[in-house]
Amino acid sequence: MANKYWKFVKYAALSLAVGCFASSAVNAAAKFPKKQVQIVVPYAPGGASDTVARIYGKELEKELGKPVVVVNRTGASGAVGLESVKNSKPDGYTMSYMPVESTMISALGLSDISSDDFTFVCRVMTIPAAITVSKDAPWNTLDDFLKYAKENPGKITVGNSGPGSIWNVAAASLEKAAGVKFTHVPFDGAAPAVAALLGKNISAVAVSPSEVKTNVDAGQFKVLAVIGDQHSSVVPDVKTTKELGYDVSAMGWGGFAVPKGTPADVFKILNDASAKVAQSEALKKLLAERGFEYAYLDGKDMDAFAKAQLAQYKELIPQLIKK
Amino acid sequence: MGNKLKADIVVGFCFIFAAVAFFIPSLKLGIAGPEAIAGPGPGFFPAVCSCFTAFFGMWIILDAVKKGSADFFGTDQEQRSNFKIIAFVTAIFILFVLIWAYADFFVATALLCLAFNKAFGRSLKFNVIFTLGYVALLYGVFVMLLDVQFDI
Amino acid sequence: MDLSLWLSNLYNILTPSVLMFNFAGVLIGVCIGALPGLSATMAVAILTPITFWFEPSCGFAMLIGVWNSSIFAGGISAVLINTPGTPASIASTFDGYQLYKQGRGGLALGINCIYSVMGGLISTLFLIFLAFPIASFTISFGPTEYFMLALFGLTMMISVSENNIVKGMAMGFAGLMLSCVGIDPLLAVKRFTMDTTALVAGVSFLPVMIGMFGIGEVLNQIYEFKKSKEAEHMLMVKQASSKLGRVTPTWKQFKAMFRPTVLAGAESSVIGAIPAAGGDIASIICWGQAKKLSKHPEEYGKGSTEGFAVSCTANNGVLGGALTTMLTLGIPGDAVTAILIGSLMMYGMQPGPKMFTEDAGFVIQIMQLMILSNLVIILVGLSTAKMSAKILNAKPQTVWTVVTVLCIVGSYALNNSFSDVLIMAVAGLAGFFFKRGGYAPGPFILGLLLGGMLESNLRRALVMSHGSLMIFVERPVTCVLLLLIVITLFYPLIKKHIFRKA
Repeated sequence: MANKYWKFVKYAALSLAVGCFASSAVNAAAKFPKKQVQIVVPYAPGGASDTVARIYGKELEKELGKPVVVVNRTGASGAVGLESVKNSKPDGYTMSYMPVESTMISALGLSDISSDDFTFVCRVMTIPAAITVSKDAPWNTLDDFLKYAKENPGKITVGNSGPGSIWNVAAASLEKAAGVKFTHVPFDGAAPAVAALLGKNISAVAVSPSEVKTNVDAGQFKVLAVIGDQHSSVVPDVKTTKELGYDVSAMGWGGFAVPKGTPADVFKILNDASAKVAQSEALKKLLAERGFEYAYLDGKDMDAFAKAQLAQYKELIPQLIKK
Repeated sequence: MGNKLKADIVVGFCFIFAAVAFFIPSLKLGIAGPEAIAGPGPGFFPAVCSCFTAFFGMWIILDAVKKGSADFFGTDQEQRSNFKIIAFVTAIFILFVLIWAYADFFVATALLCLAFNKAFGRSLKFNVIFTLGYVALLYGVFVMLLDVQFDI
Repeated sequence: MDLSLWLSNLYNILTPSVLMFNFAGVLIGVCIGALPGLSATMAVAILTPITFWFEPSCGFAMLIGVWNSSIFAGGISAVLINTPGTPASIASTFDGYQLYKQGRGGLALGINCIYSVMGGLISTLFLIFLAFPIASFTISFGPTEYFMLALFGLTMMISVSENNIVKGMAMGFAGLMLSCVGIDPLLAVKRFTMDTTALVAGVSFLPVMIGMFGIGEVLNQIYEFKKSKEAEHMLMVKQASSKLGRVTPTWKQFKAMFRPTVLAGAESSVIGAIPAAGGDIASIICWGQAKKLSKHPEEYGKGSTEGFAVSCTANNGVLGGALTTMLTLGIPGDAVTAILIGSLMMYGMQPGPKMFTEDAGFVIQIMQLMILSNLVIILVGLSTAKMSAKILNAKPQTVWTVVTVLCIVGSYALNNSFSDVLIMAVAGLAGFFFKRGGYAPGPFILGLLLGGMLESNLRRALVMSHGSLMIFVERPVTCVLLLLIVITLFYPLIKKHIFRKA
């Protein structure tokens, strides 16, 4: 009796295994998400990137019909999380949130990892930088500000969200383009830098407009210029540095990618799903509320864009951040 | 008593060794900062801390030589035999790490529980019930409720 | 503030759905907070996406409930398994676990509950009446002040060195040294990373702490265990658990603890309002400071109810402070308030000075929800205190296995990081040997925790002053803090001197 039962179990298990194998060999993509998909966010829960990834995941879940889980792996400017995705199986079940830092980490010398190790599925947003000063600061325009900086080299202290962060690069690019000298003060994230400006410990910050929005609305700060390609939706009246005559552009962005070597048919499913997700109301609403610019690019365009950024930072960063 | 126990002297040397291991790379990192940025360089703080660590390491050695070392493990035979359990538990942990890395977390955890309970001399019945119950609980809380992913 | 506005909002809060969500939030928070490695941030982050579909008052009822209760519950595991459930309860392990070992676990859990709630309520009062003055004071904190705060925290290394200060100091500086591993905070160069990405991220203090306190204690117990004494031990445990009866402190104890805890509540409310200082440093500073002022400083670290009550008050007292900065300035003081700001924005509200005029009603609701959550916590906490203490009166062997696995899961779940598990295991073995030799792990953990804050703010200050050390004496608040540090360090000497004269 017991023997018979075991035989049945054995056969059942065997046929199940064969069945799985056969179906996976014949058609990997037709049933692509067979299990849950995970998105690795290389930053802490609760941050802007994390929120965007979580909303994206929720919408992707609807498209793919399988659960999508967000996993946070922080550390080393994002290198830890990105590396874990790079080393995972390229089967489409592990995706990564890709911040602008993915094109900067190798130039900073923190890790060999770069956006070249991934295939982009999409870009969803861009984030410009805003040169922001205290309301009662003596400068009302970017020209005033830079003129003062020129006359008093090193006297203006500019806070940023960390050494080698995109906002550090943004301020340093402006410094170079205008031929002035700032004292850069790196903080541990954007919020402490904003707090330091509010407490009048530094003279300006270069962070994203969304991070200073509250204080601008409350009349505590004024934004002198936006470093980016287009006006920010948070402070639509403020001109970009390009319009003001300084050829600088440094902006953050966020997208999603899979490790290189993911089968083309799997990639196509994700790429198509992402296109729909990126157009979804929920995501657009979130971006608008957080003050990020909606800027969808599909996988192919984004790959090209990331390549250009990677080349740009490889050249820029060693010049800007002297070690 | 002082000349028999040397454990603190060894620990003191470990502190000094660690301090030196941190101090030498600190010099390379630069005690003084680069010109572009004011203040001390990346090597300053670790260098200072390693100096203090070495200083207190030496003090420990001095104390141990003068007053004798602390008695780490006692002489109680029954307690000393517990080292076997600790060695066994450590070995199981290494095995657990390998199984987790190459197979599955929950299989590894179940084996860890079984082996630990065995080492602590629990009955087989308790062992099996405990392991199944505990692993199921962990799965329920961490995977079902909290979405923690245990694959690495 | 306007009383009628208070009453009308109270009416909005006291609806079945808000109460239900608050209660659910508190329960979830207790479960997550009590598990080592699962932090309050994680609890709030997980629940936030769910609350987007609720009414703002219901959503916030849940989030504030989770936040308060997970910080409170961090103390439960500090008492029962010597491992803080969240970083904020690091100081609760100093006395809490000792109390449990002395068979006063029930009392410890009761104190944890009562004084966590007291801390929460005191800080909410500060938020209600003094939000703007406190915020305008704490926002002026710059790198020099943060440096002094970190230094203040580090002076506690001596207090937690147990019996051998030399050994404790060696441990402390080794911890500081280890905190340098990773990326340089100002120049983004790699330090001591041996070319592994895991080390570039640094050695985070939570896995080390879980290992040293949790696994270290388990190994130590395994070593000390004697079969011949097992029966005797079980008898003792039985007696202890029958003594568990008393959960609430006696009136005499309560009176003795009144002054230090009220002081700790006030201190932590202010520390919490400092943008980049959180519950861990607040509870460490309050605990160390209470020890200096106490009539029985020798009991601290050896199971002092007073010391334990102070650290419990402090870690929950931070919450009202953090809310103060968040609501008045729109600046997140920690990860949780960053998430809360996000949720407020989702509801179309913008925290900041304007919120007090434009959404005054909701500001009041948040304050009322703080009070409500704390009332629910005292209900849940006291009714479960006896039960949770009894559960852990299981056989020690069972506890060892359970704790080991929890330490593994906890250190992994912190950052989904396998290398953290390895760090935890190494720290556990090291913790065992250190414990045997009288090397206190406390200073090591303090060094690792505060090293980054100390170094980055020292160097940041010098960058801002172009290398001049004068910046540390030019700023009044820095001077006051420096003075406080000197006084705390030499207080025992001063006290002796005055005593002799008298």
